[in-house]
Amino acid sequence: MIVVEALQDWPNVLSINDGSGPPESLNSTFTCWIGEKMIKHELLQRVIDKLKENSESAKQNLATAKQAVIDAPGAMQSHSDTTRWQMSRRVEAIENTISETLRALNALELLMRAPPTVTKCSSYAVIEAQNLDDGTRAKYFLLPAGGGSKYEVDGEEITVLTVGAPMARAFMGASAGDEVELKIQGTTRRFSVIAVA
Amino acid sequence: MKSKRIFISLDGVDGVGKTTVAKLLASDGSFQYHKSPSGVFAQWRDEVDAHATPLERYCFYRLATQFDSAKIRRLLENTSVVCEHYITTTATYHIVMDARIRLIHNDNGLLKPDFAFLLGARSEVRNRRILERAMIRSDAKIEADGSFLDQVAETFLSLGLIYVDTSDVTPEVVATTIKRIVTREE
Repeated sequence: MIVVEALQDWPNVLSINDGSGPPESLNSTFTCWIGEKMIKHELLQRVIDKLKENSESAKQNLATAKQAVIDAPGAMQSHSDTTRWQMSRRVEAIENTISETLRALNALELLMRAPPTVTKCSSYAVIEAQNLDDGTRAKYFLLPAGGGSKYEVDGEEITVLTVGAPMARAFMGASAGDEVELKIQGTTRRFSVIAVA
Repeated sequence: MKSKRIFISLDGVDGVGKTTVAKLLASDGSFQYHKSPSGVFAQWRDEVDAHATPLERYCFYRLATQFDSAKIRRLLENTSVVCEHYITTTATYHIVMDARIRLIHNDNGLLKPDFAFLLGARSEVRNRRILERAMIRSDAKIEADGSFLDQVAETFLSLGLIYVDTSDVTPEVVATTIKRIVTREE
């Protein structure tokens, strides 16, 4: 009996604000709900892997950049230490990139450990949307970081959007059936939200 | 504003503009402003913050949220409500203090917000706002540990909340964005 009760309560144990069951917006079966969760999990893992790669490559660049600072001609050799100063700025920029990437990785790894259930366009939502201007449909995955890349999952292309990106901002808070507008550089694009999972 | 009463929560770390935005939302009468913890819990919180362990703190704030939930439920009979800090804040801060709290945390029995917003801002913007506030208000609390706040911000981001970045926009723009989102379903 205890086991059964624990299993019934598992969404609350595993994640914050969970327990709302399958999202109604998809009008899906439980199987579909599980399927969406698995797709998100796989996609999130790929985004994390990519960020880890970026972080490793940035660490290598940092080592090279630090060596370049040491090797750069100082004021005694070139009558100015501009080159060395510029190199130092580059080191600073790479260090910032690494620390931002590590923070992003922390947030994504927390998501991986305790995925929330979403009912509206929010962080960790997969959105299917139709561009009302040209009729094309596309899927987007909103994440705290790692946006800008496209991934193929089960033959479907999904674009990852960082939650602060203009397109993600346009979708935020929308539900299935809502229309949203994205204004960029004087042009307006309209989308209809088909499903949110 | 739509005729249905709406309950929205605003969560996020210090310096993202929760209070300003919540009060702006309430300024035209569209929403009743509510800050959690309230009532006796607001009176006791300093004592609890100073002496309790993370687990004791969590229990205190979880109970405070239960109290607020009941209060908000009553307020919603007459008006829409914007609540500054709700269960997400309770969960997030305490999970960062003690990761085991994630295992016991739940929001059973609490009124769920129609829209749960997470306000966020870049660290340097948050820090600047906190410092400015400290210069204006002598009672302003400053979180000395910046890395703690960064961890809280990361944990907030790992929740499925409606994210609004307040870094480069005025509180008025943030309030308008939130109103646009909540009235979209009309």
